[in-house]
Amino acid sequence: MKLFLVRIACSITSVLASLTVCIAAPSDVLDENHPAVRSAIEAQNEITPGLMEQAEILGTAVGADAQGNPVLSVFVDRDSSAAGAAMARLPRAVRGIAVRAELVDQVRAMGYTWKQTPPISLGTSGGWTYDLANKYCCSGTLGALVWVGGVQHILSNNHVLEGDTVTGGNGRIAQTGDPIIQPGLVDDECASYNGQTVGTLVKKNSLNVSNTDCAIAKVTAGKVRTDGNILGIGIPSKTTAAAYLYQKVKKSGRTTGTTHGTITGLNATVKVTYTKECAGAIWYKTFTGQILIANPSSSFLSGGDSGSLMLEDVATYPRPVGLLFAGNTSQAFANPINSVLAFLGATMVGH
Amino acid sequence: MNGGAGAAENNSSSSRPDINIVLAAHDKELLAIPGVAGVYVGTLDDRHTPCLRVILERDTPEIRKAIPRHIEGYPVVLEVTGEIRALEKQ
Repeated sequence: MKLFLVRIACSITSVLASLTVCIAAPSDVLDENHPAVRSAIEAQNEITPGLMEQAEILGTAVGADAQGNPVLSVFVDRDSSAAGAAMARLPRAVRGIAVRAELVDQVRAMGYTWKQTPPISLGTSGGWTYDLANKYCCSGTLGALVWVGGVQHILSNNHVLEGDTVTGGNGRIAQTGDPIIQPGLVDDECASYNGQTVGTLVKKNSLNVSNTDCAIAKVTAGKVRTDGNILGIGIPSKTTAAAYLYQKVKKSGRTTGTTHGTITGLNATVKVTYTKECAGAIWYKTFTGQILIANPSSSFLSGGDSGSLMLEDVATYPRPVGLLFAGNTSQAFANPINSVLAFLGATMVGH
Repeated sequence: MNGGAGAAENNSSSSRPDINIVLAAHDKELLAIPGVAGVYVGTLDDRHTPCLRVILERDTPEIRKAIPRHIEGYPVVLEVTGEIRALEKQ
């Protein structure tokens, strides 16, 4: 009975809209095994390569109209001046599958870049308020919260909070007392007034005097959650853990958000490339005893994630393992957390 | 020295020194080879046999010739993964 009624409905639909493909009842599951969906996917596979050559086209997908019929959605960049022309060029149907244009924003990786309402959580975009030089601005991640001398401080990397060591392109060198903002300049259109001061730098110069890349900022009252909460992770343990081969780890950072990885190397001696200020002259530092994490296609760590805290990958109160600071498209590197804490005279804020 | 190779077996039946000691004894000479970005303690693809893994910024016959295939009894594996950079966002 049910199927009979569906067929009648399909016939009526065919008369009224000749470009619509007749399918079974909308109550059928429209998964990839459904014949109509498979037809739509074939149409999608046929047309997508050519469409993606157009700068205005951001992507395609198989969707459904209000009647539950599969349609081929084509996502058009709403900010493109040629969006209208691109939409006009689209066919009305491909292999009998209706084409539906949708104006959308550009697709971006889901990192932690937005301006939070205080008190903020860590694992978020942040940086030195003056980190603008040579026509570029730079930012990283405010990774965690630590205690130093009974006072809470934001933990990140030296090259994120105090990396400007020459007057060079902006006439400034990072100094104790400088504001640290959230989000960082990269997410504020390079304008510090778009960010909020969440701490003040306590300059430690770790890159010049230690085997770590770390820095701290004294928390501005009321601006940072006092429990040390990290976006996507929660409250960490205040106890640290040592790294071991094939340990599962996770982190939250500005660019790639919360990601999971595996430690595949220990005791690394590595030469790391730095700049003396944002987009400035290059210099190198060699570290010993570093932790290496597999980073295929930068999926675990990417530019902007510097300063993220790396923790063991457990659900509740994970223990910190390292402070992430460098990498390439295959590998990520972290300072062992105990080395960082020893240099700073700090302990973790957490459970 | 931080981060000893805890999970991998360090000494087989041979009298090889600890792999971390071997790394400490040879890391500077390896990093002095142009194109070498790092060296670390890892394992072979069996996830069991300890080895020294050398990170290369680029792959050339000259670099490969300069790096031994074994160091003090430990296999050496080359990884061409490119320069290692501080990961701020610019």
